[in-house]
Amino acid sequence: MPGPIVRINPDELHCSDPYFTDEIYAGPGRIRDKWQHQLNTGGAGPVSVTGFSTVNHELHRSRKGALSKFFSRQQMLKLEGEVDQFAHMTIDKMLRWAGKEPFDVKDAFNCFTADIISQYAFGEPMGFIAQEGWEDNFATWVKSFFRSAYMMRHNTLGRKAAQILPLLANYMGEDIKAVMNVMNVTIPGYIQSALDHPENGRVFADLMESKTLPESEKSMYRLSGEGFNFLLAGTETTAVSPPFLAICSPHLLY
Amino acid sequence: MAMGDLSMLKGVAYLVVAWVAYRVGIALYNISPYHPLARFPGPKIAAASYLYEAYYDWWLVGRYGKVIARMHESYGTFGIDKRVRLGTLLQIACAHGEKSCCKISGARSGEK
Repeated sequence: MPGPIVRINPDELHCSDPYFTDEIYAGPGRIRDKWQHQLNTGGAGPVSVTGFSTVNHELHRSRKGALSKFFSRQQMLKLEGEVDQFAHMTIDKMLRWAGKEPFDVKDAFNCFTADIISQYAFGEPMGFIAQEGWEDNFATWVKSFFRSAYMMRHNTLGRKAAQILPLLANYMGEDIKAVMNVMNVTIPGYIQSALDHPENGRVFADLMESKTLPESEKSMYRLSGEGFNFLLAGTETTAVSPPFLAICSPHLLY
Repeated sequence: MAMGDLSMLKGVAYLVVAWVAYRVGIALYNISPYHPLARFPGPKIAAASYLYEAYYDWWLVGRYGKVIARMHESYGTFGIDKRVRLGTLLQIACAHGEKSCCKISGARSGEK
């Protein structure tokens, strides 16, 4: 009989029984800290102080709570007009592309979703739909992040070095360099412009006004990390959904 | 001066040897019966250090999942009474004072 539980490293057990899910994950009244070894994939730079990378249960909750209201169904419905607008821009661009060389449709969807989430989070699109071609897009950075993830988890020295000396990251390979540059330079720029125009009423402008989030949690460093996670989660997963929907349940798209 | 270089080199060598001995000691403890997770099945080489996981995930890039799937097949209920519930198993580990394990299974006072 296959075993439901095995020890996969000095401190970790792996469970293959789906009935055990409720026990392992956090829920009402069940406090669960995260596991640092897993979080080390994003263990350097602003991303290491985000809600996603927070070990402590209570701190994780307070960081997550400040953001969760932006993702209610009601909030999403308010976005419909903008999403529709971006969809039309993307389709128009595809039609204009007719007769040119083939492109990866995933790149097109990636441009689409990255512009939506950045419009929502920062109040301005990153300009991937408006640009000439379909690449570069956010996937270019995401790939760098995931390519460096395992190195970050296992190479303690490299992780600490990238953490303490962001400049050093420039010499740790193209992937680390690109990721750290996005987190330390590109995204702070977007957040700053969101803060400069609070009248747009976007996530990061609102977050600064949040009463539940202590002031110490509102540093540019930390917000940049959260911004990176927004883009990461809001771009990659959603970019693969439209083709999936188109194949499985096309009626949902119209 | 040559003497100075030599003793410096010796000092570094001692440090390296001490460090290696320290890591080997930790690895031996990890697979010893004194480790709180000792009763759980799995390959000893994986339990000894993180290098095994690092080889598959870092060096071969993201292959450890497949290895884990194979572990579930080959390290069945070896050494564990099938009737024991998983929750109870983790509580046993907790009782042995494993900190990270307690975090996983949660500080629950009683079984449902």
